[in-house]
Amino acid sequence: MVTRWKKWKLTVSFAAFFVGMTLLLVNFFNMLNLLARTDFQAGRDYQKTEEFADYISERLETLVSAAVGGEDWNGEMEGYGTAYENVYVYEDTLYSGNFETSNLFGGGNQTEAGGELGIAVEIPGETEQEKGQSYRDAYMEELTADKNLLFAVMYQGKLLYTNLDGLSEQMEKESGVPDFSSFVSAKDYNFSLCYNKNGDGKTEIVKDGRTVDVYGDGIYDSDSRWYVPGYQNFEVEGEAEDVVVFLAAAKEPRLYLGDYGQGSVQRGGALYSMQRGLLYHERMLCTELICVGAALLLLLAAFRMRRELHESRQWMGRQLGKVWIEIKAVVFWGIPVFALLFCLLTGMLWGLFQQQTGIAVYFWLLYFGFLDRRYNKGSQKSMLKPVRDSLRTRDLSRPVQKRLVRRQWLFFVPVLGILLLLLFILLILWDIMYWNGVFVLFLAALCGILFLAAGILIYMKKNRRLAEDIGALADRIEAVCAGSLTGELKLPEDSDLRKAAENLDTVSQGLERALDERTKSERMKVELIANVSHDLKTPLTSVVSYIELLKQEEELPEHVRDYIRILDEKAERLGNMVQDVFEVSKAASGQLPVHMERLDLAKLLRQTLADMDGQIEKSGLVLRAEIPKEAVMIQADGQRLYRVFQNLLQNALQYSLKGSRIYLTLITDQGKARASVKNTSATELEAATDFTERFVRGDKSRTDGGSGLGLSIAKSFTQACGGELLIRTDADLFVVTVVFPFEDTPELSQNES
Amino acid sequence: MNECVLVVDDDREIVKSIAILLEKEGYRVLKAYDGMEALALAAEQSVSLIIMDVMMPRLDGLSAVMKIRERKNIPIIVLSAKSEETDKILGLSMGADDYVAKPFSPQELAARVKSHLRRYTLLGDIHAETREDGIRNGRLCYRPSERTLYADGEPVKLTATETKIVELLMRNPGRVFPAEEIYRRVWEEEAFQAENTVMVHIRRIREKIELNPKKPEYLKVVWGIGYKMEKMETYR
Repeated sequence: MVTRWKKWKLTVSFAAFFVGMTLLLVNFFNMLNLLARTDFQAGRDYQKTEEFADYISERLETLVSAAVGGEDWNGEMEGYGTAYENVYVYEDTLYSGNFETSNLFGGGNQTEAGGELGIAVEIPGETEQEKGQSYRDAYMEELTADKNLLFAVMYQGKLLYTNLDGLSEQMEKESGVPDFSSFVSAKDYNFSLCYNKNGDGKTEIVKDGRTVDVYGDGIYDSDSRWYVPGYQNFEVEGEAEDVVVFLAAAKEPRLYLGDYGQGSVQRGGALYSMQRGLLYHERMLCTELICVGAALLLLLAAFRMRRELHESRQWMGRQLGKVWIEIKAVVFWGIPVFALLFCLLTGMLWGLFQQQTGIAVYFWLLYFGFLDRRYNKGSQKSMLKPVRDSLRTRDLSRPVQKRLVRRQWLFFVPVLGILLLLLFILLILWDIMYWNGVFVLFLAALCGILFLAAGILIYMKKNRRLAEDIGALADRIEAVCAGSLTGELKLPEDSDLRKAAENLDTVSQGLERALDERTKSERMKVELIANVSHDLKTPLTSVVSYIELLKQEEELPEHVRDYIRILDEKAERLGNMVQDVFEVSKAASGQLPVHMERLDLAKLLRQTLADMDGQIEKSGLVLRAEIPKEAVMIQADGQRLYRVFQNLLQNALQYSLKGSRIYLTLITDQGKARASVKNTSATELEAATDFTERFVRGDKSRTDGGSGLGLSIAKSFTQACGGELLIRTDADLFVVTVVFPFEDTPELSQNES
Repeated sequence: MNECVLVVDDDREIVKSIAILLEKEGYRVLKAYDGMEALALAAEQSVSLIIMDVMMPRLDGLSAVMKIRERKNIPIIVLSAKSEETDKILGLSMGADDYVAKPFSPQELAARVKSHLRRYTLLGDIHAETREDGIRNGRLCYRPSERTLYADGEPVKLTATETKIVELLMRNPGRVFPAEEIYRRVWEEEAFQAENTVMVHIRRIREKIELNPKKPEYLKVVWGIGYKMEKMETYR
């Protein structure tokens, strides 16, 4: 339950972190972007946007120029300045309000010259005047249909164009400048502009019944909102002075659709989309703010669960560790780098970063990449590793000189390839450009390559010789390691490794000498012991002989007989010891002759027990034997092995606690035969004692009958037979185990005579 | 007539002790303290048996044995402080009949002297040659018709079971018998605790036939396999 809850928490922490981070990355820049673009002054009133001011200014300019053009649309209008020229908004698409894409008249073919308004080449055969007139009419028709923007244009007291209902009828009745606003519903059209109403060339703007301060300090500059004539530095001259224009904008712009059935046309899109855009922006901004807020909340939550987050990161890292590193390299590093390069080359770099999703994807790729690096450093799972390993194994199986020579190609082949490539490129350049300079360059490069190739060849040859020498040296070292100390490594005088080879020879000679000396000293030791034991035996013979004579002497007092008995015992022990010392020293130096044969260890143990029956009985100890009935065949020298167990049992009989039991067990497992003698020591055992050391006894006083050689003999004889003798003590329990490899084909082995 | 034994050793005390022992057994003893002396005495006197030490000044024991062997065919017992198998084989190949390692048991040496002399004299006994030939092995001889084992020509007192074991082993000298097989063939029933039973009997037989029961020469345990009667050279 706890683990499930914990798992759940881990998941939640990471999900919070992931979603929060993604939201933040995606929406934060969006939000900034929107914040920068939002016209907060305008609120929901599109008429307060700069866009609207520009639109109205442009309309005014267009209408003025249309009016001035009169019959002659191509009239001079330089007085209005270059900016006051030729922009006619083509309102065809719904949301094109933000971007004025094209203009109605020019179709993109307008000339730069100021006066040439709306010249189109598509209509041939007519005079420029006629063309101007027809464009003007078409434009006016468009404008008339757009009831979002009401207008009226007068020139020299005459009404030229209007879409105000009833104005033309009124004008026929009355002359002079009429009160345009009376034709407009102030409720629906809360914005109106009147140009040159009073003939002063000024523009009057009324919004929501209040007159707007258009000119400010009277000087037009880049901060001025309204681009209309009437500033001190922007006055109307010439024909334009006779123009009067009235404009009124709808409070709630809507779309006007027309010509249904002849290709639908939408009109009034500019103002409509201006207003819609404001709402849209507002909604967008709200969404973004909510998203960023949510992201921050999630991140906060993730921060609160940072311990779980850390654990989940570790888990994630471990999971990533199971993925082949090649795949990770492609995904985490290859794709981002490739995408970056691609964008860089195609010039779409900025586009990549404008895409917020792109940024998020980049972030996560890099994040997981670093996660992987952090938790799986040095323990990456690789697809190529087996291949590399097998290559390496194959490489290692070759002698060192071959390896070194092969390795040279690793260097030589790429260099050659690069040179050839260079040559090829030069050749192509020469072919393409017919430029003599390239030819010279080509020749120079060719020469250079030839020199380089020659240099490399010489280098490789030298290296090959060095590699051969290293190989020879390595072989020699191996031979020395294997024990072949004689022989010498002869390298040529000029070889780089000459000195090393000589040193190696010195070392191996020294080693040989040292080994010789050791063998000699070992032999001498055995000889010495043999001689000593031999020299001890001669006087011992006399001792034994005279004791025998004494024993045969009659009429001796009883106490003298007792002395003789003691002498007899000790003399016999002395003899045994001398023999033991001799044998153990021979065995220790590996000179003990052994006669190996196939024998049954179980039978050997039974025989040993039968042989020592008397001694066991006399000791008053109980011997428990667990010996399998089946044959346990091993390879050993029976006589020596008998001595081993004889010694072990004697040892046990001698040092066991009175009334305790001795256990002799034989088991076979895992191809090994294990015979153990276990007994409880009468005296306390010292844990750190090596009992197989010569003359070591559990009891240091040496007053008992043992020679101190029993276990030593047992161990050296066991080893001489190819077995192993292990001693273990546990408190007062003393366990000796003799281990032999077990030949598991139990057949009765008989020596046929 | 008392047989004459020549004892040769550079250690005078050893020679003396052996001399006393042998004289107690009723032998005449000649003493020598190096190889040259031994050669001289052996040439001068009629000697029935020689006990010769190996390591001696002037002329070592083995060379002396070789020299004596050239002219005399008497039993020679070699004494040596070296107890290795190789030394023993070397001694025997030089012409010695027996090899006793120092420090030896004086009784064993006396028994060996007696054994060799008995066989040596028996060989020359016409009466012995005409007697029925038994199964011979070294100083042992088993006569199936009498169901008797002779050691150095003297009958050995064995129980019925012991005789059966001896017969089995004497008929197959050198062959190793597992305890179970001996048990089956002697007791004629399934083996029960064969190892212990057989071992007890073997030990008892050893006491009766071996010169030194602690170092048996004839009845041997082949450890981990079984028991055998060592095949000995029935010499000369």
